[in-house]
Amino acid sequence: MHIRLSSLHSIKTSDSNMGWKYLIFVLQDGAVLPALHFHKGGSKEVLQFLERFVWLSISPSNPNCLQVIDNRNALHHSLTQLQIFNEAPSMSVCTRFLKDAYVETMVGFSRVTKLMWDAFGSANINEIANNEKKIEIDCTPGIAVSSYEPGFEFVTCNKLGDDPAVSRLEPLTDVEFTSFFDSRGCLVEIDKFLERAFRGGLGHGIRQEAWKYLLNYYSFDFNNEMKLDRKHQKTGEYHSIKQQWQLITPTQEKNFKEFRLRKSTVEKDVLRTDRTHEFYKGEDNPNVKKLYNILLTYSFYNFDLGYVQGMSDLVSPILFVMENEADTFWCFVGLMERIGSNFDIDQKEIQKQLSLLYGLIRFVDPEFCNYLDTHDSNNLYFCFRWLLVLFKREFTFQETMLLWEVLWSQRLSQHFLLFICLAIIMNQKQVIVSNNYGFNEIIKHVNELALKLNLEDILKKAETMFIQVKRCKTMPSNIKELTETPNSFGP
Amino acid sequence: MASRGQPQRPNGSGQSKICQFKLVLLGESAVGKSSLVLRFVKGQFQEYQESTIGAAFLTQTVCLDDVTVKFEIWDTAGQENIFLILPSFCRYLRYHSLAPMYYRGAQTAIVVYDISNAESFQRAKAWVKELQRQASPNIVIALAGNKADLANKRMVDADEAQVYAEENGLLFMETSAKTAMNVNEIFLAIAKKLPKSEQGGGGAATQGGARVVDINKPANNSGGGGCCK
Repeated sequence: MHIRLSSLHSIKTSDSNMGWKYLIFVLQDGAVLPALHFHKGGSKEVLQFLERFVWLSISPSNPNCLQVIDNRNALHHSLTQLQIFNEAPSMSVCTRFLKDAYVETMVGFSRVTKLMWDAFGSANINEIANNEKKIEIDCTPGIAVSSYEPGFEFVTCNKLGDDPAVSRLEPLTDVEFTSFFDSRGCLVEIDKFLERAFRGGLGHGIRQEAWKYLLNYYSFDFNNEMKLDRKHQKTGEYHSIKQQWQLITPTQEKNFKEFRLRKSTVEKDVLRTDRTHEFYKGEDNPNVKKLYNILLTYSFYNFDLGYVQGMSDLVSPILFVMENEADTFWCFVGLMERIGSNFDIDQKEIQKQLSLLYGLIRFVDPEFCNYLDTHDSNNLYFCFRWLLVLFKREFTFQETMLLWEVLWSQRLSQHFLLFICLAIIMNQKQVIVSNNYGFNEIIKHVNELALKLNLEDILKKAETMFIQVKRCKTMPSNIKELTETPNSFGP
Repeated sequence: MASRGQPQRPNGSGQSKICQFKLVLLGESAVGKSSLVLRFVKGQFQEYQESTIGAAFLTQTVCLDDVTVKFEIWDTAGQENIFLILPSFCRYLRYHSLAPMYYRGAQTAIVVYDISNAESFQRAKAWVKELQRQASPNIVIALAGNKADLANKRMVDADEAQVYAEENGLLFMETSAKTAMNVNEIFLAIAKKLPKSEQGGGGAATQGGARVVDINKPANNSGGGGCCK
């Protein structure tokens, strides 16, 4: 939400006999912005500050309303002559205001300042950002809501409150896992299983079986016989899809450009996917061939999506766990049911997730969000790789498997991935701001984090932040959605 | 004097100015774009360089006699689906409606193909065409026939590529990120060809020329616009 000064119509102020001051911005199109309350003073400074850009005059009909007069000319005047951010006094006004105001106010006003920064170029953004960074906000934990005008909600959490205690466990053991099944082989302790997968990941020995549940190859209520049936049926189905491309003759292939293209893209990628890992090492490694078969078969299973780079990164650990092609294929299909739209050419899904993540950052740390806004980085493109291949490039192979189990357990939320992103971003905030990184440097910095991150710390922080956000009583609906725990394990 | 063709960190001695240029690598998947950058920037080579997802940003400088050229290098993914996320690059492909905010006017591009893959050469030609049509008119384009070490698997004739490059006004070299052959050289050739004047060699001020940085002042790395700002 931005306020263009040129679209400002008037500012309503509080009665002088009220205990504190508030300001309400009214736009020329009639829109009324949420009230900014000044419990500790500062409203006067804001008005003084604004008067550098616009002419304010008390309305003849209402002494509590300041009308904006000829703001366009005033703005132009200020742009060309005032150069306020090169002047120390204006800085101090800005800073004092920010110090005095409550967070909600700051967030609201930051949009005004952002507009000003935009208008004045980035000359002194660094200084302002640094000043803003130092502000200590003294307020009680909870949430700040300005909803003075009905129908308007302008919410941010003013403080996330204390860190809730979060503990991580050792990976789920073989013995414990076995105890979750009944005598017929049905996984009955679903909650316990998912909770353990979330909180500690899985021992490597049980992954082959457990991932089939996490990726919807098996249902929890399948008994041993049903599992065998499923495997048998799906193996046959896999091979019949695989045969479809295997049966293409060299002549057909010569006349089938799309197929040649797919084949060569898949081939080029499997030859460089995890080739330093023991499982895929060396020339003529049969596992590389399996990876190739699975991906090309998938491109026939989902012909519209085809093969998109990044898929090989997702299949590689699954094949390492499953070892055989058909099981890997169906587990990958299960995964793609959830996240396949990330690979769509229109990139709408990825954009949607980036925008949800942006909302989350805005909610928990509006200051840093403003930093991103003013440094060409609020598109969060630096998180693209994280989302597309589920952090596969950022962590070791072992860590990636554990991270995926945490995600696939869907324990806290189906969007826990975004909280992991949030945790990493918050951990990097200090470096980004203190170095004044812009778009280019943030991408470079974030790419270079690969294999340098501590997964357990990040998982703890992500869960902590999840709990802190969730316990905020009021939040925008898109944030609320992110914190909703699914009623049951979904597809 | 700095040895020619060797990437160097600017040290300020005897140098009067640094010119920054935005460089983008384009080309079909797996032709060696990231490997060229890795060789140029870090002097390394990885046999199994992973595919690039999204985009990577790196910088490297080249010292000429009187000027230090700093390249701001954008290494892109070869498959369109996964680098178009940056609207900055979209102008070169199908999403022309998305504003190329950050990428307006890359001053130079290296279009890469693999000499052992004929289709990659065709794709390179398409990239060149696209750049000539869409990019800044002053853009310096270099064509790199990479994987020159795979001479026994050659599918693209060097002379043919040379002729094509001349016809289209491109710099051309066959390179090998693996052996380092011509890697520094192609960047150096680009550095020499780029206009160093502040006015941008007569082109549009925001598109053609370098941003000249006074190296006596602390580096300003704010924002992402570089000279496009």
